[in-house]
Amino acid sequence: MMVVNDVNQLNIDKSKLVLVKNKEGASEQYSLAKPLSYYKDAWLRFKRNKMSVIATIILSIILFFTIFGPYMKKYDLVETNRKFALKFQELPAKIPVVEKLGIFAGRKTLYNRNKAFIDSLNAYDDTIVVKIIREYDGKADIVVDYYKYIAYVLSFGDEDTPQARIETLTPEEYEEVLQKNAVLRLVEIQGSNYKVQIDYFRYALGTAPEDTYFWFGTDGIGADIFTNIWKASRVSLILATVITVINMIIGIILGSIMGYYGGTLDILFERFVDIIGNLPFMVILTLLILRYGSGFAIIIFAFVFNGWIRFYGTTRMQFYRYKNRDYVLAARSYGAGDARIIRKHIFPNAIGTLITSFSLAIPSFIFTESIYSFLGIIKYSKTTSIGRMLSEGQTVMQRSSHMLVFPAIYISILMITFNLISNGLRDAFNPTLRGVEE
Amino acid sequence: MMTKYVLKRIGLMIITFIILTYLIFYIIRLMPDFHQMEIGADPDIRAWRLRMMGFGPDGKPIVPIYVQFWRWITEIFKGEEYFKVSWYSFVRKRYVYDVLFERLPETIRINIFPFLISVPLGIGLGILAALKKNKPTDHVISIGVMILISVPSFVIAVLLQLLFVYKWKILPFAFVLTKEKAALDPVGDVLSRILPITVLSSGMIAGWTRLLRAELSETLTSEFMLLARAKGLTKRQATLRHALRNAFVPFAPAIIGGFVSLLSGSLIVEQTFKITGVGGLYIEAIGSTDGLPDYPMVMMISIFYLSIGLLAGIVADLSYGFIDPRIKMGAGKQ
Repeated sequence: MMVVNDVNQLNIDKSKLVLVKNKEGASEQYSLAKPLSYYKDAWLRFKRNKMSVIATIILSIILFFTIFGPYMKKYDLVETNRKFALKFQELPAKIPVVEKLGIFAGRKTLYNRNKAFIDSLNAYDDTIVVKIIREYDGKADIVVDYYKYIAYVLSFGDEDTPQARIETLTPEEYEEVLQKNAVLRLVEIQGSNYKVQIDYFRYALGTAPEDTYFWFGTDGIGADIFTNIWKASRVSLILATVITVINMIIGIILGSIMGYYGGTLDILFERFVDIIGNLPFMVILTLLILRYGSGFAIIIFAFVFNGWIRFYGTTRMQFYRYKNRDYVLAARSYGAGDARIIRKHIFPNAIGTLITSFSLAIPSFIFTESIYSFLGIIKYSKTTSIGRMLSEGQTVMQRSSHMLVFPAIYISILMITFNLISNGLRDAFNPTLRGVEE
Repeated sequence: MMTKYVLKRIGLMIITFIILTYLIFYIIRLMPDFHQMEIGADPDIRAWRLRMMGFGPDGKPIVPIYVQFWRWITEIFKGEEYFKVSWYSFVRKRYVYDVLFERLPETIRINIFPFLISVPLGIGLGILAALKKNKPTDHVISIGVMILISVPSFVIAVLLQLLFVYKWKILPFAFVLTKEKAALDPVGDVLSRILPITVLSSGMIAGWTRLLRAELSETLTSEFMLLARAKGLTKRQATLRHALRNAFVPFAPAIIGGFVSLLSGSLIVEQTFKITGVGGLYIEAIGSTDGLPDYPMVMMISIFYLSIGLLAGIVADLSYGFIDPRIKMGAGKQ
């Protein structure tokens, strides 16, 4: 290899040489080398974590349904006619398209039905009984299309009272029923009144059993579970956000002050935090609820009571770690006041860990809230909650498992996505884990 | 130094205990329906109890709460008949501590077995996951742990009941048998405990595995491990003798603390499987099923939970110093 000692010895036409920075494409290379901000760095790392990205997408879908889900099914029988809605209680799940596969097809198993009753079902419509599981002395266990079955029972009576129900209607009522296309049979006209057998299913829901879909079924009072899940989801997500934000604000303010100033005030406050932090949460919650009921304000207060300590601890720790750094001294010697140093120089160091704590606090609230509403300690007066749906589902799981399965799936998916996201955030913001993942 | 620190911690714990007990006492005594308890009982006895507690015949407090608190504490030392004032459950017609200690064995019984199997399993899985970090084994374990930690235990519990008892009909009972039934059917008793034990164990195993995996993978990357390998130890030797011992420093106190917390049991599992333990007692006492809360009982169990919490905390903290001599207890700034 020839070693060139003097560049001038080379015979190169200087006009052919181009400065690197003028070379085509080089400018992009330079822009790549732009310094990464802390957040951009964290974001890049978060994006690399595939599970977290998938979880974020799933969470967005859940949020979409939480906002729009309660309006998707137009069904207000529970509000307008509670007693009538009870007739449609515990309808199993029925989802369009999927039903063709035989799952979520609105079917239910009925035990110990009389043969005569089954025959009358078959005589009316041979698609009601889907399958006969087992026959024994005049009785049988059958799988029915429960929607059609309920429609039949409402109009023709059930096994114990097998008679068609005939109603006498005034002309106005008759007109209304006729408009809904719910006249099954006009028995006779008495003067101006009509004696009619009504198709109650069509009258109440406006559609024939084949065209009626409760995607996740109905619950014990005939309410749509799909709608209820998203309503409950809305309540718990809003509460979670409100509570976590309040906790975070209190924690950040107190943590900054105590961490920055330290001294006797800090020592005394640590004792205070130690004391109230040791109060069992369950005791706080139950006593408050016993005294004031489960209004939203009380729930928020109970969760804030010692929930802020987590954020307080994080912030205070970061302040202790950074307040004696040289750059803080430099800022002070330039004349920065305490407030400015806290805000501009120390607090930004805590943001990463606070974001992680925030993303952990939200699922932890949802988790705790669902437990206490499952146990029946938290009982909202107006809205339902996932925990309550699950505890209702538990009592009837033998005959109506859909009441249990759908809320269970919802909360499981929600908790898993939240935990995946907060894991991703923790890895993205926690610099000590850098390089470990590869 | 050590003794002084321990004494100081215990002293602080007692102060915390007294303050919090007073706080709970205060809230309970201020309940608007507190004086309504025992309506329907012998009016003379009821009036006597209320007077002794510090309430007038109309149910209005006649002495300040701190005097009531003092009376409440001194009743303990005054003898049997004074227990009847505020340490007596008007619902159960028994002393509250008797009821509590009667329920305690059942809680321990259901919790001890999951604890005993979850610790070794958690340690094993944790070590495996840390050693095979970012390999398929670790991914499988981590996903399992993540799911078990994310999904609330009552959801797992009810889904297991649904599948094993009602859908697949593998197990005969969805709930743990009562004492009377269990005496008649010992096999059924064991079978009915499979589900609660599974639920409790799965949660505990996931918790231990996650903790040990995190600790161990941190120690495995530290510099003394490099030294250990450099001086000629095999990976296995270095892991067992050096990394594992260090990883146990935060792990062991957690186990010890967890052992103390066993006493408080799991409210959810007890409720879901109808186990007559302490947790169920609390739910019964706050009257979510029948009307007025059993306030003496609520007070008793609240104090019980409070003391278990404090005890578990202090035991775990102090055990740090015994396990790792490098940690100087109560050492000030260096």
